[in-house]
Order: sequence, then structure tokens, then C-alpha cells
Amino acid sequence: MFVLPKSLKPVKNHYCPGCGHGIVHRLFAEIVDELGIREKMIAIAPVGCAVFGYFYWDFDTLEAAHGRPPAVATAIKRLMPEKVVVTYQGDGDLIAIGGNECLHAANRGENITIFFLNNTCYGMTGGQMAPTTIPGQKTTTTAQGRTSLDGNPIKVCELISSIDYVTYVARTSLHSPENILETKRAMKKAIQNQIDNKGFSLVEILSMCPTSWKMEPYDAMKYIENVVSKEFKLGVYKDRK
Amino acid sequence: MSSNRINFKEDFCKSCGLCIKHCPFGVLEFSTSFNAFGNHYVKQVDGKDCKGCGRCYIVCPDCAIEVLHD
Ligand SMILES: Cc1ncc(C[n+]2csc(CCOP(=O)(O)OP(=O)(O)O)c2C)c(N)n1
Ligand code: SF4
Ligand code: SF4
Ligand code: SF4
Repeated sequence: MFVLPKSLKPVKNHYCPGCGHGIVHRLFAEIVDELGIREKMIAIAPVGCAVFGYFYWDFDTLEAAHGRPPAVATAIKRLMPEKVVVTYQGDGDLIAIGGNECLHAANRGENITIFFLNNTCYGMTGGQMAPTTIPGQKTTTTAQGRTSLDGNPIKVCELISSIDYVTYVARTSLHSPENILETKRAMKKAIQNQIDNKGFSLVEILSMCPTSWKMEPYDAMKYIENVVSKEFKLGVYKDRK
Repeated sequence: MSSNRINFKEDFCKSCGLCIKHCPFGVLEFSTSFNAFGNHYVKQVDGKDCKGCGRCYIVCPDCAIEVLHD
């Protein structure tokens, strides 16, 4: 049976057609149902297109200032260690304005889980360049394509997995049903690690932003397969026992 | 008769077409009618059996499809 999870409210979402956020929201809710942790969940929504996460997840969710979810998660988890604390962040939120918070939460080995949705741009504000924009990719702030003057894509998994206190880091993608199921497995493991008190886990998910990419939704999936996942290699970067 | 039933939530559908592209058995198509939001919602092709693989459910970003095995 493929039936919608109880942890997802039965409402229509505000995302553009073919946007990856809707898929990841559903996976998150499926995992919460499967692990039976709905009453223990505290999710932290980002600033970005997913700012309204609390309209959709039927568990406790709060909203942090732009880029600050890992700092807020740190406080909540330290004060209420029995809760399962998960941040959900875009690439602008996590590695542009919030790079500092993510890096230091990782370095402290906080027992939290981060779901990091990388769609290579700032979706909410109109598709500007993010630290993750692909070289040559056209955005509203790189009209001729990203050049070396704009820096090179920051590889969050490679960076975070180099930190000693980090437990689990994986990069997955949404470009096919098989990859979506792989994403769900990684997300579930990242939450299970927290329940088992194993420490900091982060899953980076390559996701479609058909609107900013100016592509049909299916072409956006193919773009991940053929371009984005060549720049950001999929795989498990760290799995500390 | 197929024992799989597709539950379409027509008003949730945004016509992104991902389910149609990923159904291996050509079971899904756009309706010529509109839903309340002006989208051509997805429907089952007349006479085509759903195999219950769930790929449409997995890729749908809008929770517009469930697949039930009766
Ligand atoms: C302090 C602050 N600076 C800037 C903004 C404007 N702003 C809103 S969302 C956003 C970026 C969102 O991009 P991303 O995190 O990649 O999420 P997406 O929308 O692509 O899912 C920015 C810069 C803000 N809301 N607050
Ligand atoms: S702008 Fe991009 S990330 Fe935001 S809802 Fe639309 S497709 Fe999704
Ligand atoms: S469950 Fe499989 S066969 Fe049935 S409509 Fe969905 S993708 Fe097609
Ligand atoms: S994937 Fe969902 S929203 Fe997209 S066309 Fe199919 S049913 Fe509609």
C-alpha cells in the first residue's frame, strides 16, 4: 500500500509544480510514522521555500531565523534530550547565511539531525546564486553563468565529514523513484542515530527547483542526474560506528 | 480486473507530469478537464491496469496519488 503518512496534514502545499520540497516533506512524515516518534518530534523549519513546514508536518515544528536552525536545535536538544530534534534547511539557509551555525554544531558533535535540501539556488527569493550553484549555471545574479569570480560550489558533505565529532554524512538525490527511496533510507538512519545517541548526522538531498532552473519538472530531474550529481557526488561520506 | 486501486486527489494535482513519466506501464494521463485550481489533473487511462508498483506515489510532490492493493 502506498498511503499518505499520518504525520503529514491532508492539505495542498504551496510549492511550485515538480518541486522537490513536497517529496522530502512526505518522506520525513513517513519516517516519523514508521519510527513512532510523532509525540517526540521537534522539527525546525528554515527561511526559504520550506518556511511553512509547520503547515504540513503534523508534529511540533518551529521556525528559526535564517540559517540558525542548528543553533536552535542545539538548545532544544540539550534542554530536552528525550526529544527528536531535526532541522530542515535549504542551501542558502544552511551554507550561505547559516554556514557558521552548521559548522560549529557539527564541530560540537551535537546529537541532532539535519536534512539539507540542495537545489543549487535561493528558490524563495527568485533564484539567486547560492554557494552551491554549479559553475556556468545561470541564475538571476549570475546572468552569464557562475564564474570563478563567484567562487566554486561548496561541498557540504565533503566539508562536514572531515570534522572529527561528526557521526553520519550522506548525499542522496530525488531524480528517480529509486533515488527517492535511497534518500528515505539515509534520512531514517540519520534520525535513528539521534535516537541511539550517536551524535551529529546530516543528509544532503539534491532536489529540483524547476522554477528557478526554468525547466519542466521531468527535465529538472534529468538535470540532477546529468549535471548536478556529477558536481555533487552521491554516497555515504561518513558513517562512524 | 486489477486488484490495485489508485486514489487520486484531483484538487492537489499541479500537472507536473512526474507520475506519468515514471509509470512503467502507461497507466496515467492528464485529464482534459480542469480541477478547482485550473490544472489538468491526472487520471487513469481507460482500460489500463495499474500494477501497484507505487512509483507514481513515490515521485508525486503533491500527495495527489495513493495506491491501494485491495
Ligand atoms: C536575515 C535574512 N536575510 C535574507 C533573507 C532573504 N531570504 C529569504 S529566503 C532566502 C534564501 C533561501 O534559499 P534556500 O535556503 O536555498 O532555500 P530554497 O528557497 O531554495 O528552498 C533569502 C536570502 C531573510 N529572509 N532573512
Ligand atoms: S522556487 Fe524552487 S524551491 Fe521554491 S517552491 Fe518553487 S520550485 Fe520549489
Ligand atoms: S502504481 Fe505503478 S503501475 Fe500503478 S499507476 Fe502508479 S506507477 Fe503506474
Ligand atoms: S506527480 Fe502528482 S502533482 Fe504531478 S501530475 Fe502526477 S499526480 Fe499531479
